[in-house]
Amino acid sequence: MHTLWNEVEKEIRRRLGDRWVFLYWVGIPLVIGTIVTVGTGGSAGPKPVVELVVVDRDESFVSSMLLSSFEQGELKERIRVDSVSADVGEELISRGEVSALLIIPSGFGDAVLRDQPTSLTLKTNPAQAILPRIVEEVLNVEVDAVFYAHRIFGEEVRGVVDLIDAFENDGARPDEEAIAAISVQISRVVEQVVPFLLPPAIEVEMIEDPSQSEQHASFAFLFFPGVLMMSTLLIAQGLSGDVWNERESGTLSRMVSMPQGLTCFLTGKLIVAALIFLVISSLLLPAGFYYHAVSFTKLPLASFWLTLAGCSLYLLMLAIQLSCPTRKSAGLFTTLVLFPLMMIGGSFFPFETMPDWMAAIGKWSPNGVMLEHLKRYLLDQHSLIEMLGVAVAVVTGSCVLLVVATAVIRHSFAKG
Amino acid sequence: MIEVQGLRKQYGDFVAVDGVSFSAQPGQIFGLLGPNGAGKSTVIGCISGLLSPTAGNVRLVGRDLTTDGPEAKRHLGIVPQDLAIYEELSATENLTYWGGAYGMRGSELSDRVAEVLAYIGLLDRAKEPTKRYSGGMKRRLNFGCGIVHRPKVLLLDEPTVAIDPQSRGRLLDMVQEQADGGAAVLYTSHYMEEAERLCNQLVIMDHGIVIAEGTVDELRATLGERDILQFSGTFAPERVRQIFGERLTGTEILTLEEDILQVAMEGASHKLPDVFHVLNEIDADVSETVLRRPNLESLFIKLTGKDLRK
Ligand SMILES: Nc1ncnc2c1ncn2[C@@H]1O[C@H](COP(=O)(O)OP(=O)(O)O)[C@@H](O)[C@H]1O
Ligand SMILES: [Mg+2]
Repeated sequence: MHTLWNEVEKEIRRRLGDRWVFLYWVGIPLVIGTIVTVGTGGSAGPKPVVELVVVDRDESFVSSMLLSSFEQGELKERIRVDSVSADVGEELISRGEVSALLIIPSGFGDAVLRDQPTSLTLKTNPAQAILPRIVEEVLNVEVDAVFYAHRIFGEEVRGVVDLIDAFENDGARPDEEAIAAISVQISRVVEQVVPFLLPPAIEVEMIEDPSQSEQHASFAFLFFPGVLMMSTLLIAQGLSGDVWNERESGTLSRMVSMPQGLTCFLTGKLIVAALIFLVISSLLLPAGFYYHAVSFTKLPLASFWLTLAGCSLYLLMLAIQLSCPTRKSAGLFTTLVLFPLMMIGGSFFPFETMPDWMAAIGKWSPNGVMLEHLKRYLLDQHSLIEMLGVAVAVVTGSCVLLVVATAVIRHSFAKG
Repeated sequence: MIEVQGLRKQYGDFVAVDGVSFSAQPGQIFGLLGPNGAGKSTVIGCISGLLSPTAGNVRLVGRDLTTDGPEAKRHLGIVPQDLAIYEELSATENLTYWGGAYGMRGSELSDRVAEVLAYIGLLDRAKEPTKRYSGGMKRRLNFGCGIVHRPKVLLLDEPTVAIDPQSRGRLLDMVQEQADGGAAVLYTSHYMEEAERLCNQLVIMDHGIVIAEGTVDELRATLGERDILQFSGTFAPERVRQIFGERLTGTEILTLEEDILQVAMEGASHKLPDVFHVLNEIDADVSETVLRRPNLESLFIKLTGKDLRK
């Protein structure tokens, strides 16, 4: 125990001698995180397209206005709207082939114009985290717009409705003059109301798989755990390279001839690595939590999770370092492993934006599995039992790596 | 005490050390001498547990290294040929760490660290990172790290290589003091004069095997009271052999080639004129002459026909 503490103290002193590297470890993810946030929030980069299918049972002027509102300005590039029959729509959404299904009930237009309650039904695809949200957002804006439109243009709207009612009630055929009057009236209303136009008190009824109820996830949020894991991988690689310093300074071979043994030596290093991961994640997580409005009660477990990930990735990187013949080749080889791991493991592109097959593989990569569970935890979609299972597996794997690394150092690496 | 029995170390087909046996007693400095590549570091590596011997066994303080490793290693101190210190840590931090790794702690450790710092002459720079130290200072710290836990067995692998004369003198004194304090010291070097000054008992190695062993005096005696004369130039070997046999009885020819001649004889400085006379008679062209008094260097030349430093 005492020798272990001796080991830890020495490692901390050595690490503190190299303070700049901490700045790098904290700075890199902050810079990348900021770039990603600004990038996805702004207009840079290709954006995913929302596939919206609509079952229009109303087929009124109002419902077509509603649909056209999805095709204005920037939305036009982000939402593709297809009208389908009810059967086809239900089928598409149940097969998860579209982002959302919007059902406009018959009588919808009438109700809107008469300022009577009505309701729209939106079914979203639970497999997609954010895309359906865009549709939701648009509809919410519409609802607000209608409310204000009625307040402002109530007179004109009612005028049109009265004219129409008059014809319907009298059963009389409107003469040319009356038609012209209505047309003028309508076009005036349309001109003024269209930017908002829509139903009063429309209620958007959301239907989605309740077990999949998600916390609001922005696009930038999906990058947040990825950036954290990227930083963890970089630190793991950096820390693992230290074994070459130990070898080149002769301290490793002195260590092999000491009674305390290499396990104590490596465990000390692992403890200090854990401390570093803990400190860095305690610095980075609050920044992201604050920005993405994640509850700070999640901080302890999230920090622990990143630390666990860091330690296992450190041992993985160490095993790779030890299997290389020279420092140079080890640097090259760990980098060759690092970048594909980052790519497939969801650090460069979130799993949500990957093709399914790639995401499926990535979620089984060592960093990917940790990332996926961290993300689910932050989004409240986790299962603690599952996380415990992953943690046990990771700790077991790490123990194996520790034993292997000790043996390799003793039997070949220290003698080189 | 150190006991080495039939030690053999093979790297593939290459035999680096073959059948080396010796034992070093407490209070004794045991010398392991030989040119570069003789296998000295390999022997040290096998004793320290860094290398596993192909055959043979090693006992330290009466304990077998393979079956009782940790207990045997507890009494072992090492001063490796290449430095083994943390350059980013200060001398104090290095000594504290290595002492702690041997299980020392508390005031026992801090007192001992202060003592060693004074002993190796680094007290005034003890708080500086060692990467700012000179080569000699690092060597002294390397030595300090090997003795901080008061080992009963001390292994020194060419501790004076690349060191300034002052540090070297201090270091040799310190090695002597360790033995005087009761440690069994194994000292390897390719400097014969160091061995002559320090070692009670020694082994001379070449190509992995022991070629001579004994006390310094015993080894000197095998050489007799003879000096070594070495001539460089151009010689006709046959004529040299003939005329030396006829006219200079009592000289032994050690090496004879077209460009080099080495002979051993008693009282060489007095006989030098005769030797030149004889060489002159056979028209030998001498460009350089060296006279060496009997020492381990000349013993080594006698045994192997080659210079230690080469
Ligand atoms: N790891 C190794 N693999 C192969 N040969 C080695 C290895 N280490 C040392 N040798 C060889 O063993 C011989 C003895 O080396 P060493 O013990 O270092 O000699 P010394 O310390 O006397 O200079 C040398 O010829 C050296 O090249
Ligand atoms: Mg050597």
